[in-house]
Order: sequence, then structure tokens, then C-alpha cells
Amino acid sequence: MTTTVSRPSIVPGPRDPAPDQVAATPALEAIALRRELRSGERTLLILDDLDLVVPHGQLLAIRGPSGSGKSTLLALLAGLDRPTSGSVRIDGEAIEHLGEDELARLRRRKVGFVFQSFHLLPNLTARENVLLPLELQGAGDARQRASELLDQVGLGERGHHYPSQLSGGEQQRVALARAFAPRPRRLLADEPTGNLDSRTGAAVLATLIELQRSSHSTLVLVTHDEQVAAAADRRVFLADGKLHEDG
Amino acid sequence: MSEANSRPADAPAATAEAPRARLRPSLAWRYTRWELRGSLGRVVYWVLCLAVGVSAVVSIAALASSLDGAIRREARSLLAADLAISSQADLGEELARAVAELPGGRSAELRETVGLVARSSRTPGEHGGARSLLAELRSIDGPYPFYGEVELEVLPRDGAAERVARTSAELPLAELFVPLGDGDERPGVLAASDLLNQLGLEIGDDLLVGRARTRIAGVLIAEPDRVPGLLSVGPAVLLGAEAFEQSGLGGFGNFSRRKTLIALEDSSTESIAAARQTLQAVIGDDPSYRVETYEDAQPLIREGLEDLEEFLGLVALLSLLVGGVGIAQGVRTWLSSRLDAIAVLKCIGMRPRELFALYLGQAVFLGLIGSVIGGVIGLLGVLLVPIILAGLVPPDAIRIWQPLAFLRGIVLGVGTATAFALPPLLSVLRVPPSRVFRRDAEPLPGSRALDALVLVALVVAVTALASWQAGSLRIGAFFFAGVALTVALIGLGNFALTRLAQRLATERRSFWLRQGLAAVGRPGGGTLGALTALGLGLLVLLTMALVQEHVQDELAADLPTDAPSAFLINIENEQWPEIARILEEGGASRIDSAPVVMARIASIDDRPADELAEEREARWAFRRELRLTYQRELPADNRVLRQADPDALWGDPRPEVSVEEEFAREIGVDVGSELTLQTGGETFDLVVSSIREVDWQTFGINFFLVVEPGVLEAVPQSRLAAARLPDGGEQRIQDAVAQQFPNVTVFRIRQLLDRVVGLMRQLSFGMRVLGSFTILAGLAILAGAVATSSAQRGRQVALLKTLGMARADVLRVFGTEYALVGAVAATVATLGSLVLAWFAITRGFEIEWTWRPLLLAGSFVGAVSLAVTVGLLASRRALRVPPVEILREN
Repeated sequence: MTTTVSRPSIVPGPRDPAPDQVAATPALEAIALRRELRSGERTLLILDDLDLVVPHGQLLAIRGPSGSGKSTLLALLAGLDRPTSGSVRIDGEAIEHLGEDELARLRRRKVGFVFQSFHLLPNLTARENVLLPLELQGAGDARQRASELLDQVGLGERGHHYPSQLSGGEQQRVALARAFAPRPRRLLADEPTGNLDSRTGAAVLATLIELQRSSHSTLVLVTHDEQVAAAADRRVFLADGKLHEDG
Repeated sequence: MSEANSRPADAPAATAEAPRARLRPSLAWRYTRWELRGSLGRVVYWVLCLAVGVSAVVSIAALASSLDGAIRREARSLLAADLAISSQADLGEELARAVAELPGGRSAELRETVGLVARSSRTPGEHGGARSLLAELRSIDGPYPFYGEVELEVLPRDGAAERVARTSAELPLAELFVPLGDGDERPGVLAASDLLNQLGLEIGDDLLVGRARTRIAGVLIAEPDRVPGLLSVGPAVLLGAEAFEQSGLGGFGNFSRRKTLIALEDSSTESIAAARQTLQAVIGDDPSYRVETYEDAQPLIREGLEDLEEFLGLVALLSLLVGGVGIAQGVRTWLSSRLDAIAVLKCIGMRPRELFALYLGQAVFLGLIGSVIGGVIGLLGVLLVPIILAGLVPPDAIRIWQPLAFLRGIVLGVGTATAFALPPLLSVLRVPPSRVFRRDAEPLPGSRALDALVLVALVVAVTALASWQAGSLRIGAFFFAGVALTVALIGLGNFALTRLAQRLATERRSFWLRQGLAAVGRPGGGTLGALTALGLGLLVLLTMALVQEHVQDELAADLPTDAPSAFLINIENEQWPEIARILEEGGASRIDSAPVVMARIASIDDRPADELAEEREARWAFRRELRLTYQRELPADNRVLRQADPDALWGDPRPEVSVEEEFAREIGVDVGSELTLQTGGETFDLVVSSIREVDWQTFGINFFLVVEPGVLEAVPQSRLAAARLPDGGEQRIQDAVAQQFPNVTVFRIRQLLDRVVGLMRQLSFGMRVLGSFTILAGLAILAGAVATSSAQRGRQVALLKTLGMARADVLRVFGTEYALVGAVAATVATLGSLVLAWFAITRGFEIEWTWRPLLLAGSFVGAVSLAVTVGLLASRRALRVPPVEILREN
């Protein structure tokens, strides 16, 4: 299934700072980020004093072999996981000292996610899945915006379906709509096309990029698909716990 | 859906999230609905867990409130008057005058006693049955009843043989009591139909009541102030004051009570209170007169009801707590299936505390659903009580709509659900959001303080609920401690046995047993909650059954061979030789008798009884006449502990008395004390010269006070006799005594005990029904545990089938597992109940412990087969799944 995004792009909401205002502060920053994992008796070093700066509006692709720590990095960038040492900054604000509560609020306002396995809530319809983060935010136009987004990802007619009634590609597009719904300034995508066949994957990727461009948000994309990476502004490669610029 | 947002869509604030924004109730409610969608199974499980306990709680509360309401509603009828004075002696001049002078007051005097009534030898016709029996006699002097009606049946005047129903309003009792005249001078009496049947009598026949020859004027159906079904010694007889006088049964030495019923012209509460005050002023501190008003309506019965309600309420609470264990387990399984969703919600910015509140809210909501359903069932269940306790609880006393009982059930149900859901809900906080990337992400660190807080909340909640049920904080705390200890022991037992199961699951065992043992022993098998619940339920039921069987058997057992089986009271001294002869000729053994003097304690060491009644343990001893005797030699079952003169029992020149040890302690006397007794208008100063111990278990004739011979011989007295009547000859001897000595009353112990046993059987049946609710709750939890893990079990079945196991084989593996669950629960419960029951039986009831292999084996087999049946039924879905479906999913 191909998707053409013909509707007007989504205008950034009033709370989004104008791009030039924040140009000085990067959207995301990792400073000497280190993550060790205990596995039985052994301690595995996943990320080794890694540094990364992602400016606003950039589409960054992170590649790397499986098990290289891509997902761990993503989790740390979103404050879903805590580093062994080092720091993550979102809009220049260090997040490692924040509590679970404050982290959740931070994500609610600033970070969106797309996962390899979609992670839609199974007992909510497509529309309700999109609606949830909006309602959580207390958005007044939640219902209207949810409809717009579903239209935009080409699922306007299927909002009442449950995830189990949707194909993989459709589920991922619902997930995209959900991720973009609260107008996050940055989006983290973990192998968004990893569970899809190549044609569907390409269509989903196109939608993702279209949404990112139109909302001027920052997108960090983890993938090991070279074709996906090719669409990015910048590519980095994660190996042995370190990032290397990649072509 | 009420999704319309109140804020206008274009308002700038709409999208700008305030940093302190809270989870809005509308969203919480909507999410709850989303969450419940397609979770019918979970809802059913919660309802099952809670409804069983809540319905038990509500039923008990509704029943108690129904009965209390019935008693209050019928309060005036239940006293048959506005107020009444109870006493042993007659009112006395002053009090009688006070009664007569009450404004518009009318009074009636009742006298109540038990005595032998007999069929006259002159009654025509053959009768092979009993010729005499013990009856509850009530003599009526005056316009009884003031409220309510005596229901009776009489023969119509036209001579028809069919009895017709009448009430005392249509046919005043006084008219029935007068002799017919025309040569028939027998006074009329009303007798219960039981009496007529047993003695083979009809209306119009003679009935010998003590010494009086009376005529059965009608059949007594009901009296307003007699609560049916309660323990009675025999059928009731109503008679006039004159006939009662003639019978001689109201005389000295009988257990006779007086009750003066009073009705006022103005029967308002105020005027009754004023009348009570007037009477109380005359009575003063004299404890032998008691005034009660209709508002006190059957205080003893109501107190008893309250006690029973508290006890049964706690048993019901127990089944609710068992349900709570199920809730805790249900929450755990529920959350484990929601880990991904919780992680996603955290990712999209839901705060942990919001999630916690969201899930807690759902727990409360589900708790409410379960409780409401349970409450409704409970209210309906009350309708069954008159069927279960036929004869004890009249159907028309039951009122289904008991809002307070219903509310109690809801509060207890929701409280239990919340308290038990809290600890497992804490795991919501610990779900790592990074789980969205890595399934095996470590859980977030928990807060020890929070864990402790939740535990404290659980303890406080359960104690509070129990205290509320028991109406006492102390009992509530004891209840909690008991339950906590029991659960801990069951948990420990389960742990030990599952470890044992793991050990035993070696390759040498049969395949099925090995599989089953492995299933029980595996961690997180989801059956621990079921084990605990089932074990707790079984423990309660088995303990109750063991105690009840012991007590019942003890009561039903043959009396000890050397104990008397009958007591004869109210014998006149000169009648004794002849009665002794009747007993001997009838084959009675161990015949014994003693003189009985009724006396009051006037003072001890010069301190008056009134004063002592306030401070001594045995208040009753100073407020009524005591039966005592005089004899030279103490009976063999007495042992002197201390005596003033070591050489002789009666060695003091002054008049002496020997006091039973415990009674001496309770009234506060010891060797050397001076005890003044009052009897027959005379006063006797006695010195306590010995303290004795009495073995009451011999059922021999014994008294608290034994006076030295030569002191009381001249005062009015009667004789008490005891004998062991030969089996089968009891009725014949009673009939013979009744024939020749109608003033004598024979109490047959066996007969009385049988009545107690009968009443106990009925009550304990009701209690077992209630106790089985805990088992029911346990089974619901087992079914729930199995059903909620059906996906996992389905995979297991698919795998086993793929490995070549037939359906029957899978059934056998599962069956073995459930059988082991039942067996483990039953083993732990059996051991626990043996300990509890042993203590209750040997220490509480002081009954000899006997093993009940049948009961124990039966409950074991029952528990195992119930567990297997319920478990297999709940696994049906898992068993039906075709293997390919499951494997495809993976």
C-alpha cells in the first residue's frame, strides 16, 4: 500500500519555540554516556562514554549490528533508562537527576516514540490510541486533531478498529499518528520498519519523514536498514559502545 | 460517550500543558472503560471472589437486622404488656399497691414453672405411650394478654368434632379456665398439641397437672410472649390461677417465677417511663424484682442475637478475606498481562502515580461491581434462612430490604478489594518504561517506605473491617492476629510442601505424578493464592466440624454409667420412703436424696448482701434464693481442701457451713468467715468451717453450701432425689411417680440433652453452610487462577500435544496437578484444624479428644476431588486449543 500525504502539513503548536530561538541549544545531547548491564556474574559494557549532539530539525539515523546498544541509547536519550554515568540533555536540560514523575512529564511534552513492534495498546481502538496522549496533555482540540492525524496517515476510515484488526503497516501508521499527536519537538524511532515487509516499510518511512519535515521536529531513527538510513540528514554507526560518523 | 471537551478548541491554553496538570477524572474513567473492554473473564473472576464473601456478610447482617426488627416491631406483643415486673416471690403489699395506683393501670399476674402433667387413669381408651411428661406451666390471673393474641383451637358449641381456631380476643382465657359446671368441676386448661399427641388425649379429657385434675379446654397454638423454637423443656400448658394453686406445683422448692404484666391507659413512651420510675422507686435496690418495659423487648434474646451476629459476621468476613487473597492474585496476573501497555503509557508521558491511581481506581470499581452483586445475592439469600433453620426463624420475620446490611457488605467488599489490591498494584510503579525496547529491562527500584506503608494499610484495613464486624477493636485485633498467623502457617506449609514436591519429582516417579509435582513446585505457578484460599476455607470448615462433632457426641453420648439419669424435685420429706420404693422396684440404681432448703445470704462478716452484690464476683448469689442442704457426711465426690478443725468436719460448737471452693472464692468467704442465712423468716448465723472441692462431672447431688445437721431441720424444706433409671424403664417410673405423687417433678437428663443436641444440630448446620462459603471462595480463586493462566496453559497443552500426548494424557497431567493442589491445601488445613480443634475441644470445652478418621479422610478426599473438578472445568479452554494455533502465534 502506498501512501501519499496530500493534506496540509501540521503546523507547529503555539508552545513550540521557533527554530531560530533554540538554534543555539541542541535538541538532544549525550555527554560521556556510559551504560553497563549486569548479566549474571558478568558486567557488559553497552555504551562506552559516548558523545552525541543532535541539533533541532535534524533527521539522524543510527545504525549498528544487533546487540550493539542502539535501543539502549534510544532509551537513555528519552529518559526511559538511567545511565551508569554521563549525562543526557534535552533542550539543554540535564535529565539524570529527574524523578520518574518529572521524566514522565518531560516525555509528555517533548518526546515522541515509534517502536519496532508498534506497541499500540491492544484494548484501545486506533483512534483511542491516538487520542490518549492528547488527552493526557489536556489538549482541547484532541478529537479533531486525532481525526486529522488518522486522515494524514491514511487511516481516517479505520479509527474504530482495534490493533488486532489492522495489518502491521496500518498499526505502525497508527503508532506514527500517536507519536506525532502531541506535537513533540523530538521523536525517537526504534526500527520503525523492522517488522514490516519492504514495500510497506517504505510507505511507512515516507509517512514518517513527511510528518517530521512538516512539523520541523527532530527525528532520531535507529535502523540497520541501509535504505532507511539513506533518507537521513546524518548517519552515525554504533559499534563497541562508541558512535562513528557513517558516510 | 461524553468525550466533548469543555474547553473551546481554539483556546490557546488548550494545547499548552500546564506543568502540574493532573490526570482528569473523565480520562481516567474512559481509560477504565477501555481497560475493561473484552475483560469479561476478569470481571467475572472479581465478582466471584468478592460476591461469595459479601453475600455472606450481607446475609448475616440482614438476618440479624431482620430478627431485631421483628422483635422491635412486635415488642409490645412480645411482652404482652407495656411493662412487667419479674420476681421469684410475690410483689408484697407496697409494690402491689404501687401497681394498683398506676394511672389507668391494669395488671395480670403470671406464674411460670415446669412440672409433670399426666394422663388420668380414668381417661377412657387405650394408650400405649407415655402417661406423664414434663411441661412448661403458666398460670394466668387477670386479663392476659394486653397486647397480641393467644391463638388456640376449641371444639365448637354445636358438638361438631372438628376443631375451630380462635384467639384470646374472641374467647377470653378466663372463660376457658372456669369449670363447665353441671357436675363437671374440673378447671379448664389449654395444652399444646404436642402434649395431647404424646399423652393420647383429646379436648375434654382429664389432664392431671400436679395435684390438680383439670379438663383440656382447648389446644394452645401460640402465645404472643413465647418465642417459638427456642430451647424449651416441654410442651406448654396455660391454666388459671386456681388450678395452679390446686396443683401444688407453685409451691416451695419449685423453679417458679412470677411476672406481673401491666398495661397503662396512656401507653406512650413517657408514661411508661414514668410508671417504671414509680415502681423502681418502691423496689429500691432490692435485686429480686426486675422491671422491664416493652422497649427492652426480650433483652436476652437480642443480646444473644448480637453475639451470634458478631461471631457469624466474622466467619463471613473470613470468606471475604479469602476472596481478598484471590483479588491479590488476580491483580498480579492482570498486571503481568499489562506490563507492555504500562510501559507504553509511561513512554507517552503518563506519570507512575497517575498509572497507579488509574489501576487502583479500576480495582475499586471492580470491587464495587463484585460487592453490589454479592450484596444483592446476600439480601436474597436471607430468604433461605427460614428454610435452613426451620422452626427457629419464622419466615414472616424476614425483611429482604436491609439497606444498612447492604451498605455494610459494599463497604467491606470494596475495602477488602482495595486493601488486597494495593500490594500487587505497587508493581505498576516499578514497570520500567525501557521495556518498550527491551523485554528484559530491569524493574525500577521500589521504595521500601511505600512497601511498608501499603503493608500497614492492609493490616489496618483488615483489623478495622474485623473490628467493625465484631463491634470491638479488641476482637478485631485478635481476629486479625489469628488470620495472619494462620495464613503465615499455611504459606509456610505450602512452601515446605512445594519444595518437597520439587524434590519428589525425580525420574523414578510415574510420568503423571512427575509432571504434576513439577507443576505444583514450579515458581509462579499461580496456584499459591488458590492454595492459601482453599486451605484457609477448609481449615475453618474442618475446625468447626471437629468441634461441633465432639460437643454433639459428648452431649449425645450415654451418660456415665455411674451417674444418675434423672432428678426428682419437690418431694415432701414424708413421701420419700414410698418414692424410693417406686424407684427401687422400677429397677433404678444409685438412688440418693438430700433435703433442700431455700435460703438467702443476708450478710457475710456483718456486711449486708446488698453491699456485697456490688463488689463480689457472684452477684447473682446475693440476689436470689440459694438451694442448700444439711448432712453429716459429705458425698464421696466431695473433697475437703481446708477445714478449721483438722479432726472433725463439724467440730465447732457454733453452727457450721461447708462451702464449695469456687463459690467461696466468688462470694468472698474462707474458713472462719461468718455467713448469715435467711430462710422461712428466720436468720441463721453460721461459721464457715471448711472449704470443699466438688467433682461436678459425676452429676451427683451437690450443693455450694452444706450446713451442719441440727440447724435447719425445722424450716420449710423439700427433698431432692437422684437416681439412675433403667434404660426403657424411665417413662414407666415417671408415670408411676406422677400417678401417686403429682406434686413431684421428674427431670430426665437424657431427654433434656436430646433437646439441646437437636437445637445444636440445626444451628451448626447453618454455621456449616456459612463456613462452606470460604471453600466456595477458595474454589473460585482456583478456577480463576487456572483460567487466567489459560493462555500459558494453552501453550503448554499445544506443546504437549505436539510432543505426541493425547488429550486424555494432557487431562491426566492437569488432573494430577490439581489433585496435588487440593492435597497440599487439605494437608495443611487438616494439620491446622487438628491443632485448633484440639485446643478448643480439650481446653475450651474440656471434652476428651477422639480421632475422627472418617471426617478427616472425607474432607481430604472432598477437597482433592473438588480441586480436580474445578481445575479441569476451568482448563477447558486451554484443552480445546488446537496446537497449531498456539504455535503459529509464537
